[in-house]
Parts: sequence; structure tokens; C-alpha cells
Amino acid sequence: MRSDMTISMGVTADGDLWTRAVAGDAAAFGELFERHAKRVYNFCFRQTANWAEAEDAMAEVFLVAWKRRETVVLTTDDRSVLPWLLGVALNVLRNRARSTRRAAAAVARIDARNVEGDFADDLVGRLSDEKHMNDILRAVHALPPQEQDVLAVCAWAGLSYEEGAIALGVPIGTVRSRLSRARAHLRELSAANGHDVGNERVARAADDRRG
Amino acid sequence: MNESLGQQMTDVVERVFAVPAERDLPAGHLEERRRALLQAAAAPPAEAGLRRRLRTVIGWLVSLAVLAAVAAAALTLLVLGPRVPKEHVAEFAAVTGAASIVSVVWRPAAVR
Repeated sequence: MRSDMTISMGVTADGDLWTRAVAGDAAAFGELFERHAKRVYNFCFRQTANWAEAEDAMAEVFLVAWKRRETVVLTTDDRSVLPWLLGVALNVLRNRARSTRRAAAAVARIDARNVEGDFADDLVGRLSDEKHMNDILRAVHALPPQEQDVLAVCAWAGLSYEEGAIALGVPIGTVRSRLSRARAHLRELSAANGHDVGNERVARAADDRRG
Repeated sequence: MNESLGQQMTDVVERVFAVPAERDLPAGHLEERRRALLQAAAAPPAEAGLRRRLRTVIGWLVSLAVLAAVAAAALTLLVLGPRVPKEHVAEFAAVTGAASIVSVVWRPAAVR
């Protein structure tokens, strides 16, 4: 009972904040920002392998979300705005990647500045994360772009199939089939590396991530 | 396969699913970003909307001018110019006209 009430209150708050934001209430949007910034930030990091770039992308995602708020209708049962935000993030990151490719030299300068400017105690851990994530992305980039997206949204960000469908703008069945194909491709990659990985092991890993 | 070799050969699937744990933004950055976002949100939207509408109107006017120029060029070619097959002139006019319209209508969308 208590659990139901807690969930219900959370749901109401998220949907209510969005309604207020759509009506132009910037403070309500600020609360949504605080609520989802970390998830979007980490989602962006897992796409870029660069914490500083992820932070810039996260800020851009929320700015785009603010500008386009009137076009969005929350359709999930819990009326969470997160799936849509991650969908925006995918597009923002794609656009940024294009710009990045056009200005590789500028990116190198930004990277150097960001490493110097980050005085957090966990700087070493963040640098280690970036190296680790770069290794992962090198493997994942062997997959078709659509499978990369579904992997990021469902396996890494932990969205359900329904939420993943919203984030990717495709039917739920497409999310399932793309995830299945991504798993198959990963198994092929793994086999090519000399490993024998069972289907259930890959499926379990994805399901564990989704919670 | 011996153990050291097995360790060296990283399992692709394990690597893909073992993403780094989530982290918070660096201290103070969340507040800073929130402040910047709210400042941007507080900017009068009318100005941006007006600029966008103005750009669209100018785009359509330029497109109409291009269409008129293409039509004039095509007519000139047909009436006064050397013997050019009518089909080629029509194709040229259609492609150029369509391109000018598409250049106005199409915008790279940041969101779906």
C-alpha cells in the first residue's frame, strides 16, 4: 500500500511538473532538470566516452527539451519524461558527432581544457571511465547504428521495451527485434574473438541492466 | 587456452555490458547548469519565434525568385535559344524548382 502510494506520488509529480513546464513554468522545468540530469548525463557519457562532452550534451538536451516541450505528450503509464529526453539525447549526440567530425582540431583543444579544468577528487576515476568506455564503444561501433541505439537505451540506460520505443520513436516490436539482433551480432563478434557465449548469458546481462 | 591468454582475450559481450557506473556531475556543475538553463528558458520566446518566421518568409521569397528565374530561363531557351530538347528543359526546370523549395522547407531537426 505504502509502496503504491509512493509510486503514485512520484508519477503525479513528474507529470504535473511537465504540465506546468509546458505552460511556461521554468521553475517546474528546473525541477525536472534536477530529477533527470544525472540519468541524461550518464547516458550521454556512455555515447561519447567523455565526461565533459557529456555534460555539454546534457545541457543541450534540456535546452532542446524546453524549446520543444509543447510538442510532447507523455504516454507511458507513469508519464515519465525520461524516455523522451533520452530520445532527444540520441539526436543531439548525433548532431554533435557530425559537428565534431568537422572540427576535430577544436575538439582536441576542448578536451585538453576540460581535463585541466576538472579538479574533482574522482578525476582519476573519470579518466579511467573514459578509457573503459572508449574500449566498449569500439566494440559496439561494429554494430549497425540502430542496434547501437537500442543497446544504449535498453541495456545501458535500463529503459523498458515500452520506454525504449518512445526514446527511439519506433514500435515496441521493433525494439525487441533490434535488441535481439544486437545480441546475435555481439555473439558473432564474441565468437570471432574466440569465445563461446551462450544466448542466455547475453540476455541475462541485458535484463539485469533493465532491472 | 591457458589462463593468461584467456585473460588477455577480453570477452566482447562482457565488455559491452560492463559499462562504468553512473556518476554525479562534478561538484557545483549541476547548479551552474540549472541556472544557465533557466536563464535561457526565461529569454523571451517571441524574439526567437519572430526570427524563425522572418527566416522562413525570406526563404520562401528567395525560393519564389529562383523559381521565376528558372521559368524565365526555360522560356528563353525554348523560344529564343539553340535547339534544346524540350524534355531536358523541363527536367532542368523541375529539378531546380524542386531543389529551391526543398531548401526552404527542409530543416535538420534536433528532435523527432
